[in-house]
Amino acid sequence: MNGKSELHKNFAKVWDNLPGWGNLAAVNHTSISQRFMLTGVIFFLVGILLAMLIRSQLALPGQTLITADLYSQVFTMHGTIMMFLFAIPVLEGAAMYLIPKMIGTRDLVFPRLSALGYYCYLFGGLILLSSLVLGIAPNSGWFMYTPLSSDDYSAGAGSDFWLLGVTFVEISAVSAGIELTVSILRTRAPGMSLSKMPIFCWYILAMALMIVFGFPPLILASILLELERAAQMPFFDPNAGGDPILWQHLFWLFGHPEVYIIFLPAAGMVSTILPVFAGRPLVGYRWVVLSVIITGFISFGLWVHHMFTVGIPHLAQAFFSIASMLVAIPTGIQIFVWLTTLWVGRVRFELPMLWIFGFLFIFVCGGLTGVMLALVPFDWQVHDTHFVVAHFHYVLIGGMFFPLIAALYYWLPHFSGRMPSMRMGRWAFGLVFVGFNSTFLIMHLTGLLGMPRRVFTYESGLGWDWLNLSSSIGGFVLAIGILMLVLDVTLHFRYGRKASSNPWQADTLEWATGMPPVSYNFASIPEVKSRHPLWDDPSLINSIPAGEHGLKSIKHGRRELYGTDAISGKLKEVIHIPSHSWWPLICAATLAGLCISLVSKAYMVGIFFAILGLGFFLRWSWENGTHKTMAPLTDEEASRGEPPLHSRTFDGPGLWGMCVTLLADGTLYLSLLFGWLYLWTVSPNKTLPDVSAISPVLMGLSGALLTIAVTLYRRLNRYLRREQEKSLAKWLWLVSACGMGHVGLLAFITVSSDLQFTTNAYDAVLLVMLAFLLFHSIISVITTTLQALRVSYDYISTKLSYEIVVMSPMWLFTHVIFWLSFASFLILPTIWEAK
Amino acid sequence: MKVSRAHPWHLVAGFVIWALWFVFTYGGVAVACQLAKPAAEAGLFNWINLSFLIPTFLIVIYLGICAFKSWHVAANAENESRFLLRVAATSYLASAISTLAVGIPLLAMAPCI
Amino acid sequence: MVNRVTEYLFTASALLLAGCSEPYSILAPAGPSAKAVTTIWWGMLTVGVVVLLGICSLWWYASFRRNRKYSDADVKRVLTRMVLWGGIVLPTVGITVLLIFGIPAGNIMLPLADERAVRIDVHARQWAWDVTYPQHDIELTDEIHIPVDTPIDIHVTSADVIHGFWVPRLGGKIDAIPGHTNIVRLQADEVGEFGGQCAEYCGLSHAKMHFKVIAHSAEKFDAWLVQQGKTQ
Repeated sequence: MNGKSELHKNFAKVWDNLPGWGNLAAVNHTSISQRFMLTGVIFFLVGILLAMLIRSQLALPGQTLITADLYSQVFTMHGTIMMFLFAIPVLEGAAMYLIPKMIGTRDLVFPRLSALGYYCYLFGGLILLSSLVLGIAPNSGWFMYTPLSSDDYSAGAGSDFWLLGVTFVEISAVSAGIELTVSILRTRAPGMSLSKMPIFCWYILAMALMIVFGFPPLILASILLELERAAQMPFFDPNAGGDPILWQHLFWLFGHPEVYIIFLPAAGMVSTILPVFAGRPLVGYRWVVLSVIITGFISFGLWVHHMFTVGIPHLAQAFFSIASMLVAIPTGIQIFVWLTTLWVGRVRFELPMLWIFGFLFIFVCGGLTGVMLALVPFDWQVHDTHFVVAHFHYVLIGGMFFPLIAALYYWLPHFSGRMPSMRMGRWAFGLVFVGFNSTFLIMHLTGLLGMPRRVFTYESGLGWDWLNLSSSIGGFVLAIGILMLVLDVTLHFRYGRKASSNPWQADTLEWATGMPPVSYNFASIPEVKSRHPLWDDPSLINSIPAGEHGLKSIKHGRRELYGTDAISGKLKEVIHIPSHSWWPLICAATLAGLCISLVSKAYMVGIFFAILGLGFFLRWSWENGTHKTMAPLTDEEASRGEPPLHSRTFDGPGLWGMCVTLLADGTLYLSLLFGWLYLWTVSPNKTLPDVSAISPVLMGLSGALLTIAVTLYRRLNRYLRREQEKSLAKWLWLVSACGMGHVGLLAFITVSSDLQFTTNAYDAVLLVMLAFLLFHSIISVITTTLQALRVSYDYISTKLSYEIVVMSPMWLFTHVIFWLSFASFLILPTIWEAK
Repeated sequence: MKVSRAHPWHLVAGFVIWALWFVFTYGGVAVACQLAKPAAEAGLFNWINLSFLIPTFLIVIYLGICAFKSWHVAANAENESRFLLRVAATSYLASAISTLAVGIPLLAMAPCI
Repeated sequence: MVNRVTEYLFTASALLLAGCSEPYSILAPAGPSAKAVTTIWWGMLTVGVVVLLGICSLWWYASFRRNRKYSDADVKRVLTRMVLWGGIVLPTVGITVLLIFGIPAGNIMLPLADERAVRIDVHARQWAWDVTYPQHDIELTDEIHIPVDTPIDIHVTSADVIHGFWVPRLGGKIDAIPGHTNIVRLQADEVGEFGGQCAEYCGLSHAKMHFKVIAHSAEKFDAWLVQQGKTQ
């Protein structure tokens, strides 16, 4: 026992957060994820409050409780808060909390990135919310259709708050997506091959990758719309060759996958909890993996079903209509897998199961109306009515909120050490369930009787009166139910029965991390042999903290994880992760400063913050890898009987993180390319773009320099991998010199070109394209220059060349987008014209 | 990469092809309508529908073959490979069906209206 | 049959409680395309309720029935049967049937070439509808007069932001988008007045952006045209 607490003390010294204010510098995934969830709940309560305002206003015809202007702010913010500040962050938080514990590791791979993500979310959320307090909140609806959200029709700062605030929050979503992907792929406990992952990991892997591919289109769209508002670049103005429909495409290209980004983790919770209460493994694991894959892909082929009434050709609508219906099949498969698990199991009906049953009823109902809406002629009738409002509340509250509450009750003992009770929980469930259905079931009929969404009032005598009144009453019952839920959970922390270890007899490793979990999760990392480690060997709960498994040395003072093979889960290296740091907070605060100065149109201050931010980020990156505060090369490394540290290899999490980031970046670029092609092939006032403002010769010259830089860099990589001695610094300086030449020339082209970007949408897109290229080239050059400097500090050497390997894909990406842009933005229109 | 090798790439490869086909067909029809709109009387037998139907069928057949091969190899594979190959096979099959289903309107509707 | 009964029950209860007519009701269609949609709706509702109750009762039963012993082979058999029939066949059949009925309904609404069709242009702006009759040089606001039993092609566009043109009792909606001209085909089967409204949120007075469609008999419509021609 003594050895155990000694071990614990040593681990805690390395892994615990700093005391007091130092908690703000915390990067530990348990702390960060709890902050994500708690912040999300607070935003959720604000969202509920706004919903209550809406229902009060609509309770009776002709009410004048709030003005039309305030009402528009309220419904816009209700949607925005619930989607961007509640649903996604809370689910990400849950995933960040659970994933490392389930896969048997101590933290996420990029802990400082998690902290940055949290602060971006917090600050972005607060900025958005402040607009509501100031009474200048965005008011064009949560999907911000332009031209209503443009400068001409929304002159105040409302839209800017939305565009900048949401983009800011999305940084956190994308960083969480990247981090979860790499963590799941590279840090599973030894032996946990893909087929032995807990099913929840498949769901989260899919969600994380969907975030990586789904969010960039909206980030691009927000940047474009903000540029249109701030710099009069007419991307969405039909009179200048733009098109408001482009916004809708980009928005829903994000917006529909988002629904499944919200649904998948929730369904993953059901797939995790339900087998535990059925007392047997999930039957049909493979079916579920297949459904997750199908859902992940098909959900990207549905976005136009939000746009059936914008006048897209009917053949194209039919593609999306059928794809939208197809998505019912993987969902159906999951529902019947769950049903079979119950069928052949021995069911214990506890509080979480009650919520899962509520989920089933409501979600199936929402799914059925979803299939109805996918039918184009029916959609033409009910689109933009309260029928749709009812439908998506069924899908989102049924598909996300109910499983989330089931999960909350299920994992409560894990962080409170106490059991939830049916006593009050049952009543809260009853109120929420009845309240929800009486609000929204009736609302379907309201929509069928013709009530459009987003009207701030209505006349009496249209048949909508009693329907709205009962929806409002139901809404308040629902709100009371949620309050009761909050009360129940709060009270349980004090009065709940003490939980025994692994209280539900679960199968997954998170129950072996202690209740509440210790900061390092596992003092020693076990070898995993099946999908149900705790059912195979319940004694793990004791043997893990006793240090009977791998990676138990801590004297070196580093935070270490096991790095394993992405497919087989074979042990490959030891990943050394950074510990607490103030940089995430400082950088996020600088970004918040940038965001606020852009919203208030103080562009000079904005530039100041942007440069400051760049400096901070570079300083942050300097303390990395083999920097003396991290993991300098030592002599005893080889003798300790563990695999090498990742910074001594060519394949660490940084490389994986870089590649996943570039997937997101590439999606952003492809969205821009899509916008370009869209504008001159199908927009209403299309013409062939005149690209003569940019000289192809100079571009070619600049590109040639880039090609030389990239070739040199890749060649250096090859030498390093073959362990050939080269004079590193000289190579790196040469690469950065070529890169600088390329950047200089590109900057000259951009500045000297005669682009009419305020009167011509094509020129505006060209300018964005050039800026995009410049941004990537500059980052590549700066980092390579810094690497050249790091060589002289011995942070990089022929033995420690990991950082060079990490930057290699970035150079390649910069290279590819340059020539792709050259071909599609400059050459393609010329060829087209010649034809 | 050969279909018969167990690799996670095959879990998604079918749907990646589906996605590319989807973009090609949706974008292609839109652009084709701008370039040379077929006469309204042509109905279903016009150059646009036909020239998109042919790749659709080829892709469905290709994905079907991939599914069959994976399933076939999976029968003799062990543990991890077997799992990956089985899921890959069903994923290929599902992508073939999705391609066929989403492509059906090409048989039933005239383009450009 | 069930279909018909639910329909009666539903409309009856709705009417009883509302106590008056519903000028924007999708459930009281007065034109061929709106009627087609309403018929599909009642069908979908019936099937949907059956599926919902079926799945939920199966689930409930599975949770509480007496436990039996299942061998691994049994589990596999139950799973295959459930997933195949419930997860795959059920939605596939459902979707197919839906499309078989849905696609023809969609075709009714297409503005296919029809020499009887009357063209009316609608120009939306914040927050009113400007209506013009291109063949007759007539201009109106928030009021559209149409002949009964005649296909009407409404050409919709917008001067400022996006609006949604919608006459629920006659047919589906179409967005009015600056820079685009969209066409929606409507037809009234009976003489009378039908409510229209903006469906897409378009700014502060979105809730008040209503208009009227008045369907006349053919003779009365001709008379109206003549009279309008004089006054304008």
